[in-house]
Amino acid sequence: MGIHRLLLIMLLLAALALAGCAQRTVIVDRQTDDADTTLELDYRDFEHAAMKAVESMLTSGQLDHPEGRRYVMAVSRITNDTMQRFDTDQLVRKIRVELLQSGKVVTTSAVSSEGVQDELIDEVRRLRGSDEFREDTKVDKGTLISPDYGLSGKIMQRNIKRDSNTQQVEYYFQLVLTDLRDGLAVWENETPIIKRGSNSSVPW
Amino acid sequence: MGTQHKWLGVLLAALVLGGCASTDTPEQVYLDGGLTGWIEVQDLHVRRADSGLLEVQLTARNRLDSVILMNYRFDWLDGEGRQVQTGMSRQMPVSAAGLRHFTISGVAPKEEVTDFRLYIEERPR
Repeated sequence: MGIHRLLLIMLLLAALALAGCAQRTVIVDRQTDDADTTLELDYRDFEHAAMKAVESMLTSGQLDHPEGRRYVMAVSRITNDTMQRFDTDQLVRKIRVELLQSGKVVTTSAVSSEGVQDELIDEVRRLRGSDEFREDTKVDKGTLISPDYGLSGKIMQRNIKRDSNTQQVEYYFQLVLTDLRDGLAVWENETPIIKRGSNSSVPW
Repeated sequence: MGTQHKWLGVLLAALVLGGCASTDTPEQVYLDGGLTGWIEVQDLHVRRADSGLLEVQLTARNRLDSVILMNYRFDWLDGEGRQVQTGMSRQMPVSAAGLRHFTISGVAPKEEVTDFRLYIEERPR
């Protein structure tokens, strides 16, 4: 009985000690997050690259339509050429949101490098022959809008060993806006993000 | 003679303090406490671009002879003084080499923006 009680107390103490050491989970405030960066890409890098790209696009004048209307942009292929696995939408979505809010650009979901981005666009058009839907609610032919611009790009990574202790990881966010009527690249931007850290860290 | 020295001392002190005094920082620019003596705002250029968006460029000078690392953030305000919610309002890094000029630029996320606030604070090394 005495041994059992002692064991119980030790277990309780161990549990308390472990609970005391446990790392707290917190919600990060993006505005004031001053946590050290890592060699990998984190949300701040994507926000940084997106913001720089949008600023550059808006000040370039290429998005100012002479008739005051919004340009239609399609998202082409954005290649992740890094050693990390992430969805490039993490970058593209931020750019799309900000461009939409600017009132200068609207992105089409009807065309992308991988076909129709929103399959419902095709689906609702297949309903034209169906008797189950009211005729006046069906989508007419010739209603989709062809894009003016295509956004494409690449995110690259280079690892450089500086000395026995330090490595440098270079990321390049490269984006191109192409006028789809003549194929000319009307805007290009590269945002480098260079990180330096311990060789013991693995940037992927 | 003693009185003359005293006035000379006062004059020198006034000159030294005058040299250190910061020029007027524009009311839209908020310098973190520690930066007020180190950073001298020299020009704030605000214009409504052809795009209809407000463009801001601040030129300032680092008074120290060493690098200052900083973060800045623009808050964009509409005609009624309300903050415009946007992902474009986030902390960005900027650095100023010793005794050199540097610039901070920003573009408003929407045409509705009529004013802004620019916060600059020292970034820990």
